[in-house]
Amino acid sequence: MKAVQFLSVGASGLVLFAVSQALAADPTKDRDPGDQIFYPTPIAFEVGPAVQIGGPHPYPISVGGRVGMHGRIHRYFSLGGDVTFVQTVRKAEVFGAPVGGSHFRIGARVCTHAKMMFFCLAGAMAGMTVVSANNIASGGFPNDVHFLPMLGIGAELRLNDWFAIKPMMEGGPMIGVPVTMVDNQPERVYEPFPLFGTLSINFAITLPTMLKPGEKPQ
Amino acid sequence: MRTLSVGVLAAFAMLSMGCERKVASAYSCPHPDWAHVDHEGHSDPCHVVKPPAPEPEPCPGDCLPIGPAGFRREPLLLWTGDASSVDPGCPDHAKGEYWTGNTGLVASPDCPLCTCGPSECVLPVGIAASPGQVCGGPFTDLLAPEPWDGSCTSPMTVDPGTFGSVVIPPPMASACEVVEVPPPPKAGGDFSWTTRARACDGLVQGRCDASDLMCSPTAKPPPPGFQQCIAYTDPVDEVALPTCPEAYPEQLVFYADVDDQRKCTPCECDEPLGNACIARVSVFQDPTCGGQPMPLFENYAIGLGDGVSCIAAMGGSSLGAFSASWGVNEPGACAPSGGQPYGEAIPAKPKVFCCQPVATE
Repeated sequence: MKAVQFLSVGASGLVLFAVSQALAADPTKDRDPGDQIFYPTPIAFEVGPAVQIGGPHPYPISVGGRVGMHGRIHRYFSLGGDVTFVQTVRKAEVFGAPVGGSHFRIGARVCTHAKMMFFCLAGAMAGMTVVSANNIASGGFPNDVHFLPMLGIGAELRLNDWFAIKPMMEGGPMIGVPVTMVDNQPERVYEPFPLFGTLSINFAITLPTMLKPGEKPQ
Repeated sequence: MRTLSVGVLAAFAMLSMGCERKVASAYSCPHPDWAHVDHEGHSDPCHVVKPPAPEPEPCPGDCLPIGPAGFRREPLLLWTGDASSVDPGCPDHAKGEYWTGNTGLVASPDCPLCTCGPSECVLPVGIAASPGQVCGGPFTDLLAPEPWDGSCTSPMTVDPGTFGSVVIPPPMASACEVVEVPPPPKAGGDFSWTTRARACDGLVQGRCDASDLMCSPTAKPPPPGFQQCIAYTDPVDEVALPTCPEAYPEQLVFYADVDDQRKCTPCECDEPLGNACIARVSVFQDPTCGGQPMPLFENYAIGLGDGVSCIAAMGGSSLGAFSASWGVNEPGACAPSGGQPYGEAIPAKPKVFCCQPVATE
């Protein structure tokens, strides 16, 4: 299931890459005087696979994907937001119960750029599900909501005006993350290690704007 | 301003959510029983909480120290009493018979009384014919049947001219027969004990206040005569008996068996004394001890202790038969010996108990 998620996200990235390559061909070539043309904006759509180390579940490795938007607001700064979803690779036994589950977050970040490197300060609101012996049970919203202040580092490998590959690592403490209680027994509680980290490889597509003939890009 | 207020409220909400412990649930069973609660009313969907064992009742017997190393851990009820008294057996609350034994061995030497039968006079075994007049050899033996009562006997006929004298051996005294008079049988066998012991155990469930105490069947009467003891389980060295712990100060040793090494010297009879035996021997020519032809001699007296007699025969006579009778026949007697005990019986398979005083009301 996780492998399918991983491949599907990767495949969609490749399709977007091909589209962007097509768009990256000389946009003014062979155009009629009345044609509109696409011109890159500072905003990009990002999607890609993600691997998480740590997290709220006892098994320390989770895989999934990330989808986000990012906008360059200054030569050195950008703002962005994303949604990340990961699922533990398998269940780990805690107090006799096999425990796994998903961890998802919606976050915002501000990044500073230095050449191809960027460093981000981010914050996310997260949720989780716990999967045990053939059951899905979680603390339920908003009980399972917790917060993830993060620091991140990444690189932007720009291929052209439309497409870039952005590997990124970010991580930080988990604040208010739920503990996992097994069989409703107060003495059978798994408390996760409070730090986590995520590695993602994001395929960034620059969103275009349409310019009419004679119109100059902003 | 409104935006600022909403932001502050949201921040407080976030902080408050972060302060309390949030709990997600997982289950070890595939099909949780959501309605199930444990004995304290808490949710227990996987039935993992076992109800606590009920508090045991106070010990209905005696709470006693457990036996130390070398001793049986569980105390026992020990009854000791006179061997001739009525054995009460194990009481109902301690039905298990752990051990029985005794002490005070009484093993008197019981050997048979040795006596001797009489020493009878025995007639000569026969006569012999000698070719010469002075009983020189070679002899022709004429043996009487055995046993012989002296009646006429003719083992063979010795022809005339073939013998010149007749040899007559003296009578003899038979050996005394050994007679053993066994001792009177005893009701309890070859030995007896003065004191009997019986150790009983039983299971009593109950709570004692200390971990080194064990709930044990009570020794209080009824039945009377029982005391709380621990049994020494290691091999017993009677030279160095084990030391009893303070809680069971009285040391008692009983035995389960007897090593009986007692034996008796064999009964014997000495040589006979006091016999008076004189035989009267007659020798005939007639094989039927008749008067014709004339007997060679009649009623020749020969006594016990005499030498062999030699009587010359008439010339031309034959030897056809002989007979004998008693002139004096007084049996003798023998002195008995033997029947003396040696060796001893010793108690075996000892068992050591360390006990508390006999329980009273």
